[in-house]
Amino acid sequence: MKFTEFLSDKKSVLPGCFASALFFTVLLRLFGIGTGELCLLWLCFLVICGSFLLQSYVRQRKRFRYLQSVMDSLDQKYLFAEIADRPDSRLEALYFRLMKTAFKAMTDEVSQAGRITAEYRDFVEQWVHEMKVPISGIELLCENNRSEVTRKVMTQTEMIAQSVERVLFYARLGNVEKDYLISEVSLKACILQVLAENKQYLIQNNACISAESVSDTVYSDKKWLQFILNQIIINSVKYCGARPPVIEAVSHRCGNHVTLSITDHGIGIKESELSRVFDKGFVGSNGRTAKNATGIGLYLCHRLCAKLGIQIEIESKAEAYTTVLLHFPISYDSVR
Amino acid sequence: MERILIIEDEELIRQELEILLSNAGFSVSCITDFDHTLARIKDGAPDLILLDINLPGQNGYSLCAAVRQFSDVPILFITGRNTAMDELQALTLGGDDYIAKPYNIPILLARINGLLKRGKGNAKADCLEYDGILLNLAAGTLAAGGQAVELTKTELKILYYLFSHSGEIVPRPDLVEYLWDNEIHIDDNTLSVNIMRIREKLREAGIRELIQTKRGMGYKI
Repeated sequence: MKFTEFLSDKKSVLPGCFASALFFTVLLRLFGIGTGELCLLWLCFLVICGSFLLQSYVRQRKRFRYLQSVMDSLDQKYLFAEIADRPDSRLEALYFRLMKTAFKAMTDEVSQAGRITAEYRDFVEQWVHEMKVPISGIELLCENNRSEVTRKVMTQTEMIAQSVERVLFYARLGNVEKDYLISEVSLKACILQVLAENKQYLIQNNACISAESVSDTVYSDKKWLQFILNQIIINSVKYCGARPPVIEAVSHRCGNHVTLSITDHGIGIKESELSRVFDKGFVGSNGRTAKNATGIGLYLCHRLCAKLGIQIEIESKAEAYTTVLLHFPISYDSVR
Repeated sequence: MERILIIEDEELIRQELEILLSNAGFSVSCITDFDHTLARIKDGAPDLILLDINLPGQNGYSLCAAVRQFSDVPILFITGRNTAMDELQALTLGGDDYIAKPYNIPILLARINGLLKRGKGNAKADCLEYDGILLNLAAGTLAAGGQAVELTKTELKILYYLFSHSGEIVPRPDLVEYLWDNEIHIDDNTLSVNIMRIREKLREAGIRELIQTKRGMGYKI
């Protein structure tokens, strides 16, 4: 707070002081006090007033600087009223009391919102858990009674399972830290599992996939990684265009990274939209023509990769190809 | 024949698992009454247990720990829960493996076979033969009348399946699925191309026509 601002605060008081000083000047004049003495009196008056104001200003500024530093140092700024020192004036005490009431009301609201979100997340987990029972039942029935019809049923069921997985991972996104288990993961085994889980869907869509050139292992969470690969492969099928989907997966080591690249020769992504594909809810011109584009798949992949320390990149040429690259850092060299 | 015990309270899943595993050549028993589970396990003395975690009145984890007191039988957890904590708990409490719902069937069977150490070698023959034509799996060749033909991995797998079902009409989707279960992920057209290539190779080697096409139904040896 500048001195001028401080003074403008006192604008109700200062004119009053000067007015009374003037009044007394006139009075003293009438009492016969000489000009010289009056000037001296005025000088003293100004000095006393000035120093008093200055001292008041300095103290107030110090107080504000202290309060500002407390605020700056706090992460949870709503605890301000609890942390700061006791107020040194009645007025400040009243203000502090109001602040505490306001902050408490806000933290109550926030806790309430947090509680509602946690309850909802638990509900989603429970729902997903329940959904898995009939899905498993259908898959087992289809496996035990293979026919053209049951193959089609399996395809649809796999699509249900994909959506259910997506719901689960979206719900868990805020809590990844609590749910991962880093272990040595064979990229090929991961891909093979994803292909096996979507077998009928991929076969019915005439997909042709080669994973021969994937041979590296990385350190990551198998579950999350499978989900990411699942999204990428499903996308390749969804956006394959007129031709049947042809997908190549290749891995190679490059310095202190292992890179897994998954390429399809589908409709590709327009250059103008490439930088936005990871945005939440972004469906783009491709998504608008495809069915069931949620805009959530790649968003989830991007968020999960960030949490797992994987760098995800997409290269694409419209009407030609799309390549998704996953760069895994290697924590230490494994000598084989 | 190995004995598998299924401990799962969802009726449909239990029944279908029983059918699946019987078809795969196991002797299967199930627990339908969950009151004296531990006693039944002791009586049954299975070679492998498929154990669900959410059971009525008891917890799969504690059951596993209790079984470990008296037996080293391989235990495969089959469950809907799939957090990292669940997996870790299952394995540290004595489980040998963990597979989450919905089960992927080929993977489930592979894991069971793995746990029972049913080696890949003993069930499969090295050579298959049909009407004087020899399919050599180790060498990857097809031979007849002194002539031999080299086969690619895909061609070999296709012929293996056809030879294993010799005399039967094999529907194309079955072939494609079999290939997918064996890490060859090709589509229907590529299958046709492969069959064509096999026929060409046989023709060039002077071996008689082997694979018959039954229109609308499949292939037959």
